[in-house]
Amino acid sequence: MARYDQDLSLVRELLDGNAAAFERFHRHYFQRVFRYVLPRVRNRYDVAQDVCQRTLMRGVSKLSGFRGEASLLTWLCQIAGNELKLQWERDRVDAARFLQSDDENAMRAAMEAVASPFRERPDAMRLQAEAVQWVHRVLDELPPNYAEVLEWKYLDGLSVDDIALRSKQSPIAMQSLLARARVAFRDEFAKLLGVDLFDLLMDNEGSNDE
Amino acid sequence: MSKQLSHESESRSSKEKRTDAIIGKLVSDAGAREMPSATSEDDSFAVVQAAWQDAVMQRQNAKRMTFFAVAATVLIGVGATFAWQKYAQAPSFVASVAELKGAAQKHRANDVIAIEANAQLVVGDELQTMPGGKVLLHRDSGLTVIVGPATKIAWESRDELRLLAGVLYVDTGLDESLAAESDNQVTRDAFTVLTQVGRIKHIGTQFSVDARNSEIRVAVRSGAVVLQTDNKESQIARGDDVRLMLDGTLVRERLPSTAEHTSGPWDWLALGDPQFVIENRTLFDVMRDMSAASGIELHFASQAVETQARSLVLHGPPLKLAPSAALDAVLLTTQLQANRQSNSVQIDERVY
Repeated sequence: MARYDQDLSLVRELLDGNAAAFERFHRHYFQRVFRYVLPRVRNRYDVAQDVCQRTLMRGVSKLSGFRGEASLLTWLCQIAGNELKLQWERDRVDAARFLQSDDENAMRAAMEAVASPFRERPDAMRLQAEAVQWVHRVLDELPPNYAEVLEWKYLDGLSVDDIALRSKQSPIAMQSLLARARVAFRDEFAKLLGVDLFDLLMDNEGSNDE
Repeated sequence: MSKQLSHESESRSSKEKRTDAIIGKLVSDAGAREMPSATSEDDSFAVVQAAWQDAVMQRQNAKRMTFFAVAATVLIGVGATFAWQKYAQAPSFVASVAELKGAAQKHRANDVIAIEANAQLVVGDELQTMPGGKVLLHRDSGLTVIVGPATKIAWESRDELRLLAGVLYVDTGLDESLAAESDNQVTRDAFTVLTQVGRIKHIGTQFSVDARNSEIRVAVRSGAVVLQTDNKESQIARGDDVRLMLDGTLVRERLPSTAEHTSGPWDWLALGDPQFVIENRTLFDVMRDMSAASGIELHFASQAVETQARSLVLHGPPLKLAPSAALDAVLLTTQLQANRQSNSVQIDERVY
């Protein structure tokens, strides 16, 4: 809830016409909305940029409607969803194919496919692609330093000492930051997908054992 | 008891380790997050900023309006009836003529009246400029409209101007820097340009609308505009050059970077001899700018000639010549020639 308060605070600054707040807003959300949109327009960069720009334009003109009940990113993604529907109509694309990605069951299935040590399902490749979107979405919802430290650790394969060196902090502080980042990731995952990451893993392993 | 606690602690620790492992697996499997290009981010910044400033301004105006509404409620009893009657009888003022070049006239009811500086325009007025004529209109909000040569407009309502023929240029006085600095001096104008194929609404901007050919061309110099047609709405950003065909087809191009500040679809605005940028532009585009600057209509003898003009890309330094002389200068390097008539010029194959 505290993070949505931060979002509300940013929105209040934007409504007051604070130029520095607008720069922060655009720098932070353009990339995140872009990532939400890109896979939904068949990875066409120019279209994604166009939809993303329209989304932010619509978002800034409706800021007074943001209540902080969801994160600002989720709110913007909902606006992006409406823009995407218009785009799909323009492109004559079957919206159902993309809308499915937003369905909670599809999300869960996508995550199960990644969590599974056995990838036997014939649709595993497609599910993995959807899972990628949702992992990135979870990272996008995290405070930037949390997402960054998780990527350094697990994507770039840096040790805690290397991460500490890169961020000019002590290894102990970095260890603590990593722990907080993991907890935040797990919380955000549960918030977005409505399921605990560990439970998902256990369910999945249980079903594989049977 | 202690054995049970120890077991629970081990179980929790194991659970956390496994959760951490799955987080690591998810993040590494997902790979790096996609990033948009820096250029697209910069482009978006200006357009979204214009929309944001517009929204902020509207909000501030609404706040002010609320204050004034309360104040007005206190005063409304005194003289309200008199004021209302006066207002109801007077035609609604839309703009005044700030500058005039060449000849222009207005049509009001059944009268045709020559335009003079400081003339007042009201809802229902039609204004027509002669070839070579230009009129600068000024609205109370600070918004200005430059009506180009051989252009006809009609004020359909307080905020709606219909472009019947020709070309016009709008400067809302709300460019990004001005709007950012001034929250008290600038009032947003709900001004909209109507054309036969769509409505063009500004978002703090400078733009031109050109209806001289069988299409509507909207070029945005700063800020952004919203183009509304029967079935869709499109944003047109700074540097965009959009052509909307009569069948609703929309073709979006980018203006050459030089056009945003020094030349382009608004060449005709320049006083004296305009400068025509020709480097890397098609003969068609250059000739159309020259046509806009001179007020002379451009025709092509055949589709083949037009196609040739559209495909021929010119190179060279800008031409600072009268439009007519500039036209001859560019045609000299081509297989085409200009056949002049009174108010038009026809482009045809050169006859040797």
